[in-house]
Amino acid sequence: MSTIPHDHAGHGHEEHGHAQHPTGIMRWIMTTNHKDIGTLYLWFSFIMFLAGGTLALTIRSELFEPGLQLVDPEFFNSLTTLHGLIMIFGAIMPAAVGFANWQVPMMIGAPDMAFARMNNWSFWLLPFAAVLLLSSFLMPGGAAAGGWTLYAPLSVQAGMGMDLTIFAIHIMGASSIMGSINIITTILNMRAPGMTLMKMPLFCWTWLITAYLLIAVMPVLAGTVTMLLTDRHFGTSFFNAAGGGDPVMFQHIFWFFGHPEVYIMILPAFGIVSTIIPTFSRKPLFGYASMVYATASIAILSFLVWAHHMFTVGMPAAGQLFFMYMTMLIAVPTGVKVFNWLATMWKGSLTFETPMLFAVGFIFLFTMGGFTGLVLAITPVDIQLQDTYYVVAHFHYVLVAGSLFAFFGGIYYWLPKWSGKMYDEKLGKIHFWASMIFFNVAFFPMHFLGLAGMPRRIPDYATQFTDWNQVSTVGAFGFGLSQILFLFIVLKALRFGAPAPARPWEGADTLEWTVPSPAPYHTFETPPVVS
Amino acid sequence: MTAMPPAADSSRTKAARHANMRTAATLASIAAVFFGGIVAAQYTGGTTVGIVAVGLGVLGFLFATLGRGRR
Repeated sequence: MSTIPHDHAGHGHEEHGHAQHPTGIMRWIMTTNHKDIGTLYLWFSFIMFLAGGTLALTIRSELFEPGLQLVDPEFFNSLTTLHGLIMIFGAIMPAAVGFANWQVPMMIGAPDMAFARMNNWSFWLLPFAAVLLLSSFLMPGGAAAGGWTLYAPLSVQAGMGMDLTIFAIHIMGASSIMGSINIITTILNMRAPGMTLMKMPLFCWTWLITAYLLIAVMPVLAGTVTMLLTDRHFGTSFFNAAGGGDPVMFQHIFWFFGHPEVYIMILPAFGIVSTIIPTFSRKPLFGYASMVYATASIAILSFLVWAHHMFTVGMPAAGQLFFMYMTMLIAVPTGVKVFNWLATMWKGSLTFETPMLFAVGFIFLFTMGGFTGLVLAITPVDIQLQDTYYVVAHFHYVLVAGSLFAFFGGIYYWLPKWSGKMYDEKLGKIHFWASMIFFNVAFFPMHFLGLAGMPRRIPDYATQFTDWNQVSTVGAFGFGLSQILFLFIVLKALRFGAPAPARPWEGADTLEWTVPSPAPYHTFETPPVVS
Repeated sequence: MTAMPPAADSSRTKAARHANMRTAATLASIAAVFFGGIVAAQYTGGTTVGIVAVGLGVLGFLFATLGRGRR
């Protein structure tokens, strides 16, 4: 793609823009600038990542030995529930939106998001939702404890913490929907002249499709928890069997949201990896069009597989077969993606800077998570492994080694553009290897535990599971400490990093690299022409 | 003193703003249909019919929106 950037730092925009924006705390509260809001999203998600991580380490501490050591069973259930909710809605999703805010306008040559004020509002709803969620620990009866899936009838009967959780989900859902409307409108209406949809960087494509998924499924979740709320307080019986309701219907509707939600968390990660790998392979992405169609196929298929999460509730054999085959079908477009990433690297001039290490680590570990997903898609196997640690291992390989590794790679990749500073490459590589090793020490043993029958969401276990649980806990603490190193690397880069050139990566060719580093406060006010 | 943008620029900005609002309204209506649809389908008991109708409606919206934005 060749571009004629009209703007660069252009025409005094940088100086002009910096002089105009407010300073101090008001800059962050009042900002309508997509770069500021992207930064807010990313810091917020990291704080929530640390909060969710703390809950995870408490869970792992309790599981270090059989018997009850640190927490009582009710609190343990609250820990697993809040860990899931915080990591999904507080860490992974806002991080992805942070990347979108920073990168989508710059990659398509737009001056900002389509609805800048709504963008500000989308972000500032989140801290309130987070406070509601976390403060539910202080409510009588404690925080929600029915698992992040909030299954009825547990959630119908739970204490006041559940109401706060429901309200928090409503707020986060509204934030997500507003963010999605903004992203879709920006991409469809504000691309630079000459940038057709099929010339867009793949990161923008993955976010366009993700935003459509969000628009379709977040209202379903909102509707579901609204019905839950009315069941709890207004005398309805949507999911209350005592009043003629159907608790299993809750699971159907929840997973109609829940499975696309998995792809909402992973598709932006695909986009980041699809940006990093061509850069450090110094080759264009192999099979660009097939990547776009594969992403769309994954999104469509994600609506047709929800019941594979609930094979054990009982369903007709035809239903089991349908959902089993549909789930297996998702492996085809996913396989296309993995093949294309490897084909991009094939015979490329590869170098392994930290972003590339995380991207390659992503491919390796995500593929393993994908394979265990295929194992779980087989109905009779899933019935055996349902609610065991095998499932916990599977989704952590997909979401931690998948989404999180890609996000780390993305931060290392774009940090020079965002901050104008280079990170410490040596420390970055140490962060990667520590994360890679400790992640596998923490989560690989869970496959063995699950296959041996250890149930999830239980604070106590039979003594034969002790050894692998101890290994897993050591790995979890190592992984947690590795992320403190990540924080240090970022802070060190921001404070002491060497100045970054406009294009620090030789193979990078998207529009954001045509502006100086750090990116000026206002970019592309005069749209670039893409030819 | 702030310079006024030329008239052509102003009308282009206005047209872009209208286009953005149209797209946003379409997308918001998808969200509203899904939210209302899922509750209504449960309330009336016509789950299958409700979900199929809502699904088809939303798919139609998606293709229409994407088709309009394609260039």
